[in-house]
Amino acid sequence: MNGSLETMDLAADIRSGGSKREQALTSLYNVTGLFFKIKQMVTNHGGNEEDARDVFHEGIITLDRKIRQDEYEDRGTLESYLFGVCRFIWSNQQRKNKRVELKEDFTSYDQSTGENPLDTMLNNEGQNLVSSLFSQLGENCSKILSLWKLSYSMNEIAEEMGLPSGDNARKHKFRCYQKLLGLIDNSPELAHNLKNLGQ
Amino acid sequence: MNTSEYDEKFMSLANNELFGDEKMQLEKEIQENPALAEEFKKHLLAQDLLEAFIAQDLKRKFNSFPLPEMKNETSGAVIKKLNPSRYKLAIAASVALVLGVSSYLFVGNKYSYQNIAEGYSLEMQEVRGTNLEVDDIIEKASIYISKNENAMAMSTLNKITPDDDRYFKAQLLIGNASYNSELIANASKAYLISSKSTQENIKLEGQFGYLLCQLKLNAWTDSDQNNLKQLSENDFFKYKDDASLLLKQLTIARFFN
Repeated sequence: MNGSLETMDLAADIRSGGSKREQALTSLYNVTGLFFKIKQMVTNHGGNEEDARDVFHEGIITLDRKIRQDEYEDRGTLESYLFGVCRFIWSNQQRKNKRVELKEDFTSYDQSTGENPLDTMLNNEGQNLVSSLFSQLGENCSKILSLWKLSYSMNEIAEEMGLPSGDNARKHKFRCYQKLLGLIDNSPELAHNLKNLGQ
Repeated sequence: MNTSEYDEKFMSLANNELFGDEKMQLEKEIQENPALAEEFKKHLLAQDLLEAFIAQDLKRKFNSFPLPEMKNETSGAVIKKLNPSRYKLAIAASVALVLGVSSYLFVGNKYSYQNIAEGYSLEMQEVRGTNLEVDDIIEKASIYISKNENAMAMSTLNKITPDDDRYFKAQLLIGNASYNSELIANASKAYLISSKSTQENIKLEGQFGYLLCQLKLNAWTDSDQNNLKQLSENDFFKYKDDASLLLKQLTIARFFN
């Protein structure tokens, strides 16, 4: 078993979704020495351990999304790719911090400029919006839709949610999705995101 | 198409679940119809919102994890945090091989391969990773194995057929139950099957179990030695340290065999 095979296995497991994805992410999280490397990188560039922890978490979350959205190519090891992602996140964070400091002098600066809607939703203010929206959607609907997004089959969703069948899960998913669309329609904060999608 | 039908199609298109002609046709309609294009944006936004929700959920889970370099917790504790509802199942779900170093030192030919393998015993262990795949059959079988009712465990597990995604886990447990019952040839076969699993932990534990059977069967080869070396160097392997210790023992044993 060599490193590249492990990388391919983990990436394939993340891509296939479901319980395999969770298992692969947990394995990746616990790779010996990986966090230490990232902590060294962050602390050598002006950050502290808490920053390192945030960057590490963001890195795995980004990696997970990139693999699921087919934006990851199996080249090198997953660990080195994750390290690269973390380095990018940290340098981006530092760049933003500098720009925020400059904001005091340049009041017209808009922090969200150049970001896509997903980036906006992933930042601090966006996260509040997402939390509020999904709490309105309800726990069950949020779970059904996120399982669907994570490539769980309808039968697996039915099993997870205690529903009688995959067909039943499909109906629930559609109703939940329509509810989500309704919430988008009624959210003035999201109107801005809809505009950005058109650009 | 009515609104509801469009919603269903848009939902699939936005989540990359539409392919071929159907996809091309719908994309063409969206391009040609500004009202549909506007409606479709909502679906793209819904997907982004779901991604953001998934990221938040993952972040929440990670925040409850100890940092990798500082934690002294078992992998089971990680499972407990990641998926508490399945934790109890996880505890009961697996039997794994662990090293008992002392016993082989006190037997007749202490450096025989069989005797080195004797030094390994089966104990209840928690399972690494999440255990969403673990169901009643697996749980029941694990309980049987923990009570040393290995024949019952095997008979229960044999109901899981190759078309089931829990097949490899079941084979790993059959390997453990057979190994417990000294049915080493059967254990070897089951471990070999489980080592084909795409799930890393099952695959590696299957490989390790197979190697122990090779020792017991006195069929150890250079290839087995290499495989054990790889396991001893594999950070993903839960029993990496055990494999490493076994490798050292075998290096000594080679002088006596």
